[in-house]
Amino acid sequence: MKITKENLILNFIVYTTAFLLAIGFGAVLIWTIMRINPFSALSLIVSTALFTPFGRTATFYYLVELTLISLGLAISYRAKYWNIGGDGQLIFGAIFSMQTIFSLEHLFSPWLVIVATLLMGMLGGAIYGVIPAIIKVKLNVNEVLSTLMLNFIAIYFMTWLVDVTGPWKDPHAAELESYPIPYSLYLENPIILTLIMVFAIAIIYILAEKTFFGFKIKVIGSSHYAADYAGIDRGKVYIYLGLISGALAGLAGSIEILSVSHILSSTFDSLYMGYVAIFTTWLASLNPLFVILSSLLMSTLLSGGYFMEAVTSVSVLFIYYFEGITFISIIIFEATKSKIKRVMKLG
Amino acid sequence: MASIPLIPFFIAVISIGISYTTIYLIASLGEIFSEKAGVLNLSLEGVMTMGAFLGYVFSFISGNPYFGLVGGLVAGLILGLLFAFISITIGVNQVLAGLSVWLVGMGLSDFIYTISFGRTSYLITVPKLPTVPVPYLSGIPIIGQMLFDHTLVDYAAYLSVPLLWYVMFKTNFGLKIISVGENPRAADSLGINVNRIRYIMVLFDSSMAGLSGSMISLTTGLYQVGMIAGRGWIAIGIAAFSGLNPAYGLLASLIFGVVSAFGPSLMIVGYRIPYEFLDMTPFIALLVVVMMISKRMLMPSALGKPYKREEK
Repeated sequence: MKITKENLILNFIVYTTAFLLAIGFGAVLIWTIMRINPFSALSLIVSTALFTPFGRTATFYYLVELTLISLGLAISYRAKYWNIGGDGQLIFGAIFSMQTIFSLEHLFSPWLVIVATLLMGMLGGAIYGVIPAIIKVKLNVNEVLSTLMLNFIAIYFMTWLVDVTGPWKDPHAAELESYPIPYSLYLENPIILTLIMVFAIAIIYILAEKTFFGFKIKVIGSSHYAADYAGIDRGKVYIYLGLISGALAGLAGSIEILSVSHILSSTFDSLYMGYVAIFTTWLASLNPLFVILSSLLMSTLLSGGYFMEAVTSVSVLFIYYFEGITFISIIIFEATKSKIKRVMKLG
Repeated sequence: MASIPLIPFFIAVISIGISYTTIYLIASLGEIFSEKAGVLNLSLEGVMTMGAFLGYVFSFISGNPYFGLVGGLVAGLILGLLFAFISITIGVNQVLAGLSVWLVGMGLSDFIYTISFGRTSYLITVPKLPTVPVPYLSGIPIIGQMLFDHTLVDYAAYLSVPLLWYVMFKTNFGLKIISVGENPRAADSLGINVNRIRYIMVLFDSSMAGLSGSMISLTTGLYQVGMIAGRGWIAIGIAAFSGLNPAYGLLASLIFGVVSAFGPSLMIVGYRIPYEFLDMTPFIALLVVVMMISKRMLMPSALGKPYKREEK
């Protein structure tokens, strides 16, 4: 779709309305079930997430991870390659990172290990992300089903690693946790993380908008027939998309290990960031530049909701309902938007 | 390695496997019909969660587990209407519509449960669905215990397979379903109301999924956050595996039911291996199976495509 002023305004109206509608539905639910004022709850969420030091740190990490995963999904969904395996890829990125740290921590200087960890995280995610792409191309397996199956397999595999009989279980920890990573490997410098995020946005934006590869993605997304007629090798594009989106999700997993959790545990991905990223990707209308805005919105709600849970037991689970409702209103608006345009063209 | 006591293990696998099969069977039968009519309904996991939750609530309020089944059906109908409206009337991409309804169903049920029931330190149990032994047959040693000591829904699910097979392949209505899935435009020109057939099939699919979800909470008498644990997705996979034939659907559900029963059965006979690998088995099996058959699979040609009269 060409970016014109008219389109931008229409999009802005559509997405804001969809979001407000979802807030309205959410508010009704909160009020009917919990009998607390939804607007004071919402303002508490936002102020906790943005104006307290703990909240701000959490929001920032969520923002980085969500942005990375959503970038990969944005270009995949443009080609109608429905990768919903963000969680599995994130977990495998984290597992590869942990393995790298365990094997290299005493051999090299911390910075070298951190770089190796990030790269291995990307590799782990990419391997896990390319499997569904390969079996889609070679064996015609629907990627929705395969990525989901791989998510469950990854979650159980991770739980086994840190379970009582698992190889990584820290015997001193009461919970199902791995050994922690050494303090020298903590990556808590916001500037570096911001740079990684901005770099990723720039690469994906250029790839999607300025290269022939991005053009191929658009053609495949608009019509399989057009792509085949133009001689585009769809299989190759799907495999690249699997690699790219997997690597980005794996990088997010790596960052979660290095910056936030510092351990692998059975509750490592309890927010299901991969599913959340599906939503932020759509809220950004599959645009790599807008992904950061929708991710900021979502990470505010996530971190605020997380801290609220301790106070008023507004559960993080509410987020899924909220996501679903926003999702529905957006796709309905998207569908009717083209209808409105068609009517205008005919009239 | 200790040896497994084989006979108790076998009995446990079959009798647990049969109740697991019912859950897969009900949900996948619905999905088979919906996909046959050209609608890919990916919301099953969410609908089953909602079904499990409303089944639990209805059973809690009324004290009657059979009323809980009604709760499952109600959940299915509500979410089915939502999905059908988005995907058929509005004509949104069915993958997106399915994913969004999945999120709504899952989020809503888990959220309301946590707020209203989850605040106590103990789990609130509701009346369970009783097993009804078949007279005479359940008296047969071993086999009687394995096959003829289940709930009424189990028997009904197995008995419905031939009926649904007959409806799909031998009746006029079944022919309409198939034609709507294969070539909606031709069906429309013959005077078949395409979207009405699709609505009926989606509502059937979702209410079956709701029923199957309510079976999960009503056979244990409990509800837990994340309790469906991917079984909705497995049901979708089973529907694909069956080639959209109810008879093969039964076969596929049996295979996955028995595979899923390995874990709990090994625990019952006191054999310890990491349970994560057993929980993983159905997902790996499904992936392998789908990889084996996908190349040869013949799906309805209009599957996933919304039908619009005015478009060409």
